[in-house]
Amino acid sequence: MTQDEQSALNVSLTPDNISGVEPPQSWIAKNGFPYWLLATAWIGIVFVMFNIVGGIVMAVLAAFTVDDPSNMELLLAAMQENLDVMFIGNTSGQIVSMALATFIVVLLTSVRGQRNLYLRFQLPPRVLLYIGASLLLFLVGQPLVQFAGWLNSFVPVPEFMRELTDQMVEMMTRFLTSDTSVFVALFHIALVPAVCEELLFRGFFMRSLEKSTNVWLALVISSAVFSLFHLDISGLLPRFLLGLFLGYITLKSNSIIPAMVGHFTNNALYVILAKSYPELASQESLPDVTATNILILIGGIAATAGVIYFMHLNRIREEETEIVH
Amino acid sequence: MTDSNALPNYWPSVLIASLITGLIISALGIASGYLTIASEPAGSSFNASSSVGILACLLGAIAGVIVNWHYAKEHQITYKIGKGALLGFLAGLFAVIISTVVSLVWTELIDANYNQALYDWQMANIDAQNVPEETKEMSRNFVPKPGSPIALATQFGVGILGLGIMNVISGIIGAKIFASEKD
Repeated sequence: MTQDEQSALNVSLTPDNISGVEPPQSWIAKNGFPYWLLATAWIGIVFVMFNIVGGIVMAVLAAFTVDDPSNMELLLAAMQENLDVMFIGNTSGQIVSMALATFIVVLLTSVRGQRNLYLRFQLPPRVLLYIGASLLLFLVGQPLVQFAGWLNSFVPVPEFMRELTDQMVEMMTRFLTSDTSVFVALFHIALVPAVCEELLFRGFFMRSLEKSTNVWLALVISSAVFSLFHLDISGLLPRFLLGLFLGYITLKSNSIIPAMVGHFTNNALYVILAKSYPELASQESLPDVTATNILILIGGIAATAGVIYFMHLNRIREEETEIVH
Repeated sequence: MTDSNALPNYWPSVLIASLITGLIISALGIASGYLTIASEPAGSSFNASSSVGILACLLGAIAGVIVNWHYAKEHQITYKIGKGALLGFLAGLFAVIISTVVSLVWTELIDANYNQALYDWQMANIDAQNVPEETKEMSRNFVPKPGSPIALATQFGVGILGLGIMNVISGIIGAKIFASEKD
């Protein structure tokens, strides 16, 4: 059953509807837009906006660090050398395009006063339980994510994409192994992506797709787009899997907060590990195929399935309780 | 207003609009390529020939207007702007597919030297840029060879992103002009 059908069922029992008053509609529903179309177009716009905003912020900041800002050569060199400038640009792009602009666009897709409900930007009654389950899922799911990375390593990557990825990894390593404070690194690499990407991909995009199709297809498509958005073929499958985890947590908890916490934890672990053990930051992390690793993988799959089933059962219990009340 | 859920088949209108638009942007895109090859590489990102390419992109947005004009006039109907946006998006999508096929046919069957000449020009243009050697090297690595699968995929992806969004907007405008109820 799609969200539209569910809404129709819910709406049919409201006092407004009984008295013949039409239930409120969002702007895009009133104007006959397919939800998937606006959501897809918005992802494209955010992609462009993110790069433009990030680029402008980087150029402006870099201009302060050079003697002659009109000299393009100096400006480009300053942007490449100064990692703080690059990370501030990237963070600004995320905050402006993925979070703030998405908050505005949700005004078109949601009914007045229900923007946070649409985005699932809310604290449900058992949020702590779901946050715990989310943390556990990201912990026990690591072998599966590593396995996805291993499978991904067989996908041929075009040379220019590989160089782009290598440069990004090199920049990240330089940033994490520099004297930048761990809190600054956590802000740029863990906190901002966790909040902004969850708002965009799980809060807005997946929710909008749910209104045009069933929730499972919405989960798969939003995870695929989340992965593709990063323009990193070598991380395609692991990110797709992480997207599935985050989307599933959001669907079961009916909130994006547990997914934000899970996303933050996943990225924060990487930052803290790289800060604590700088030699690990630049290493290829794909494990060898050994009997021990296969056992760890099987254990990881079983534990992941267990946590997923736990969340599923918990959701059923909640729905039963809601019906009783 | 006609019930949006019971509207007549819109695919003929989508195909007509996408065919017209696809052929126009293919012609302008190829012409822009020849103008580029004929020009002197000066290290600039923009020149007279690339403005023809930009014009081709902007003209690509007419698919959304054409499809709504054709659909509304053909069936004498009115519908909501959301439907117009959908028609515009579909017309833009198919226009990109058509233009990709046309450019493939052109470069494979009609002028086999086109891609190599364009690639050589791009490399010469990078050499002429007033940027550090490191940046030039990065640019050289990031320019996919025209006609290669990655270049086609990039062209297709950028086309869908650009023309998709522009035709959603022009589709809304087209529906507002040709398919909204008169007061």
